[in-house]
Amino acid sequence: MMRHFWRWPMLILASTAIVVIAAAGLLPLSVQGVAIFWFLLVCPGLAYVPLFRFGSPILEFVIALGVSFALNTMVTLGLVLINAWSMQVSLLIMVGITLLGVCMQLAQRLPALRRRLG
Amino acid sequence: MFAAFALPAVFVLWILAMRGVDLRAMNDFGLTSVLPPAYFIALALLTVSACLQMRGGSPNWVSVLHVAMLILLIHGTPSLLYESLRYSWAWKHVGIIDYLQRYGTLDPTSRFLSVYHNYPGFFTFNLFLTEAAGLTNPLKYAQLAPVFFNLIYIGPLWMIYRAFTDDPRLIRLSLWVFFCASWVGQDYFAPQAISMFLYLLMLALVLWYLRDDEHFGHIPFSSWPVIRRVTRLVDIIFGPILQMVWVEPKHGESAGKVRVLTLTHRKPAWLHPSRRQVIGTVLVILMAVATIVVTHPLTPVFILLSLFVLAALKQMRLRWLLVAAAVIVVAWNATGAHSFVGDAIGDVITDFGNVKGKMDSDSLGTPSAGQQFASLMSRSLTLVALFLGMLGIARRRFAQQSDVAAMSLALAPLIMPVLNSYGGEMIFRAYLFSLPFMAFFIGGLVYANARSLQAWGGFIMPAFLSVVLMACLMFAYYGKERQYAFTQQEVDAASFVYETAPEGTLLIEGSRNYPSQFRNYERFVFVPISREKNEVREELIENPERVFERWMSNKQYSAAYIIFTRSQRLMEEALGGFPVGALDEIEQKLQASGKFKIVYENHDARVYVLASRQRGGENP
Repeated sequence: MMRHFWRWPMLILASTAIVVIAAAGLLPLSVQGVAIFWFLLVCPGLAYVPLFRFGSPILEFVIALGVSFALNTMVTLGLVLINAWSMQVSLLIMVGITLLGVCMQLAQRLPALRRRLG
Repeated sequence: MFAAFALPAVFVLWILAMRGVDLRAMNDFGLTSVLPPAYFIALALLTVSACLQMRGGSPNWVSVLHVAMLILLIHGTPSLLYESLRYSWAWKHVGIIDYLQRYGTLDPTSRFLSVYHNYPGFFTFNLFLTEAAGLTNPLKYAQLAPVFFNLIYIGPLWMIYRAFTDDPRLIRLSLWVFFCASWVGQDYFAPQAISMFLYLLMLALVLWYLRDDEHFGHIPFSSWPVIRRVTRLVDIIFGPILQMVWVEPKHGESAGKVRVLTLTHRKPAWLHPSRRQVIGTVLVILMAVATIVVTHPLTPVFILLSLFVLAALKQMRLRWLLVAAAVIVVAWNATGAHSFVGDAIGDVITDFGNVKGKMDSDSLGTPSAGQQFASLMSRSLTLVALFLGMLGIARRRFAQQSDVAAMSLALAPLIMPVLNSYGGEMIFRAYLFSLPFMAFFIGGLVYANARSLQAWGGFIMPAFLSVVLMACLMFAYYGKERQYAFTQQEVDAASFVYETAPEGTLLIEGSRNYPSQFRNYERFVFVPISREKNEVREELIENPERVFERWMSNKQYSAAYIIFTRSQRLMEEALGGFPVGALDEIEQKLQASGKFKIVYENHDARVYVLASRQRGGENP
């Protein structure tokens, strides 16, 4: 179980790192597109859905798609409604939200991890 | 394993089939008329393989792969073949994102396309995707939207069917049937496509984690004498009829090739959802509802309806969720979308009970034979699916299966067309929202319970269903593609107008059907002549130069253009808005009058200005 636990946090952290590099313009445009799409469509949701232990990873992935869309929509719509739209700010917020979710996942598993490490 | 050979073969055949398609040769029967035999062989092979593995034995992912391949064949074909984004509505959606890119804000009182400014969730999200991916507009990925959306529907649909049954054959067949019968075409680059995904996800979560175990699947209030009598009456009427058609082996019985299937399945997640899972479910549902509410005006109505029937029939716990969803819906419509709702509410009230919607009495011509056939096929597919679904409901009931939740979700949307016509579209939207559940009952017609059709019948029946549904789908879904597929030349002509015209330009269009409003759309006043009243259109056919000169010399517009394109002409001729050849005739008269000048021309489109205005330096 603990071995599987690392699956999503590692994937999200790697995706976030790639997106940050892409946003800095250090990747070709086609790679940037794929990285951004993957990150925005999947990662924010995947950072939170495992917190609720829905069961199978496929189930978590499906729910994560919906949660990601919802989070992205709320953030971008909020910025547009207060006349503060900025792609950079939106991306920063989404990266922040995603990392917060990963931290919460880690915190949730911390006691078990401590026990395991003795 | 047949699938191991069939799936790669289907993919290769499909790719080969795509190489020789000549879209210009498409006739009035749509895309089906130009698809080569290899395409249909691929489709047939896929169907055979899917129906073979449906009987069981193979893992679930093989079944999902078949469905994914079906999506590729049906929805990937236009995406692969067409030069540009299909459907004129999708271009408008690109136009809203273009507006947001330039202004970074919304205009809820906008004269044109105001509904999108009031329900902007889909557009703000795509604004983000477009800019973050370093694209200038979403056109590059929007063309793949139908494939993407249909693929993501698989997950929640599987969850929904799994919640209704533990028979893997029925789950697989229901999923397959859904994509064979989904012809409505709301899965393009549009807010309703993502709303549909969230709607399905929300219901899947309700059925998995919030089901009322005590009552789920059982007829509510069954202790009431009246309910008992009604259910008995249904059994008396349908029972003998179904008994004549199907002979069910009893549990443990083995008759010839028929053997009783033993279902082995893991403990369902919904038996004892943890507190954590319930909290997560509630949060996701509330987020989904909030997102749908800011994204699409119609879907929330179906959400409330679905939650209401589930709550009223005691199929779900935490019934306060219905109230919470209603509060979210009202809150957005009273604040963020109030300017649109204020205008639309009157129409909704006057339209209440109007089943027929707007009649086509405004047409000057008659719909073409191909379009009449496409329309017949789409209506046939709708009726066949609903009829088979109803039969499936009766069959499952006879097979001692209780499907109250599925049945209520299948039937509830069908009440909507009685309440409102939604411009004549409600019947198809209702079908779309009912289809996920009707598909389950169509599957239930074949696999009513664990003992149904174990032998070759389990292959023949799904194959027969697939052939019937796909035959209709080929014309219902592809039947209007001649006018929905736009060429690059049409895009170029439209781009010329949208990029050169100043603020306050009058743009006269042959019809709305072309790549329209996708750039700087707020600069224009749009006048599609196909939407003018009958007498105006008759005058236009009679004397177009006089009408256009009158309109275009109006000084309240800073400039004025006319645009005629190939797909406008095809649409009007197909639907009979104008008699065949009328738009060509109008153009010829304009050119012969000498009063209009062509400022842009290519193989598929022409753009005109009033010569006197251009000489005066008013028109660029």
